[in-house]
Amino acid sequence: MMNLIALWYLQDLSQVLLSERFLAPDLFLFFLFYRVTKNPREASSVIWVALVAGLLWDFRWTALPGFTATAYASLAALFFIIWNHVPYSGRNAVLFSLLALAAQFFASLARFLFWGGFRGFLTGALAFQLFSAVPVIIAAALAAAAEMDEDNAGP
Amino acid sequence: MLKGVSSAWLHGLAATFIGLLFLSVSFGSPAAYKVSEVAAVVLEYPERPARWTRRLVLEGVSWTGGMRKLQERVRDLERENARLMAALGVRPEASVPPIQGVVQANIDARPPAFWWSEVRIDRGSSDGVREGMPALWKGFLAGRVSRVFPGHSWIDLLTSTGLMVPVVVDETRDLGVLTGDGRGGIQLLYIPEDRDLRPGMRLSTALVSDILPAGLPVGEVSDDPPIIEDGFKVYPVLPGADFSVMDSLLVMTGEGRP
Repeated sequence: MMNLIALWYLQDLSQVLLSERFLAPDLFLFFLFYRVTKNPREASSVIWVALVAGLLWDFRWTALPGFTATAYASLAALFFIIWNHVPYSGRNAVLFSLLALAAQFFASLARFLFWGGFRGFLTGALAFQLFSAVPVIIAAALAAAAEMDEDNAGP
Repeated sequence: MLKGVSSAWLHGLAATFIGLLFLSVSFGSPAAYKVSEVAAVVLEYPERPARWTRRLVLEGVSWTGGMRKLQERVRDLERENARLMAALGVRPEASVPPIQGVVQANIDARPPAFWWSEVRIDRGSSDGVREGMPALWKGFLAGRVSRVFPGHSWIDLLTSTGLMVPVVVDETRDLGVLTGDGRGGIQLLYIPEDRDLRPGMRLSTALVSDILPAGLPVGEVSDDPPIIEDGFKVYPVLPGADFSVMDSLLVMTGEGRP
């Protein structure tokens, strides 16, 4: 729980730092992805956590309660479903990275489409969001891969 | 696992539906704005470190940008200074204080009967002054050393009828001869009739001179119209040296000496 709060807070601080110019990458969402790869049984709760966290994000930043909440919940669910449809041997850091990057892309695209009137500003901001997400995604993917290696090694 | 996946589908759909419901209900709702305001107020304190950091970074960037502008300004001023120094280079007495090659001399006598012809300076052969050396006033040629004594010397002024100085028009490279009219005026002689000089064109000593170094500024072409004598135009000249107020001169004794 503390980890979730800390990650949401970290994303919030990032957005404060980048406000008026850029959008912070969805760190919290990547952490949720990491959580479901680490413990698939948490998937259902993670989806609801995504909804609540997204709702809080909307209250703080978008003033459109439900927008980020919908995106986070649906993306978390999709990530989990796709991840679990891939055979165990194929679940690695690369797959994690691709899925997370796709999630970030669609989240950015949704913002881009929704805030059509600000597309001039959003193009740069969302491009920054996408590129700045890459190192975070790689770090999360490596952490997830390491976790899976440990699980495979067993006791 | 499949059970988990179907469960995820269901939870995902439910959560998405609730999210969309929130979106549709809260769109434009005053209550949503109220909650947003509360969220901003509640998070104000936890977000302060980021706000401070952001302000520091922005101020740093602004300071750096300001520094860059200042550095550019300094470079511009340095370039301008260099240009001015180069411009002063043609006015040795203005850019270089009395040093080797230049002797500062005070005018200690100016005979009223030869007011526009010659002056006496308080420097002579013992100071390195030799006959023929150019005398400058504020960087402009004022005359030439005509007679030298151990402690003083005489200078023929440009306004003298006895001194003729070959000059060149800087803009057109026309050559002519400068001479005084004995009444405080200076004329530029021997400009071909078909040549037109404009007022303000600068004159300096010509390379063809055997008595003075080339390139010493003399003055400029006057606004007054030229007169024609024997197929040549005679242009009135505004001298750079002010012969009415000069009380000291610089005698070029070193480089550039004829």
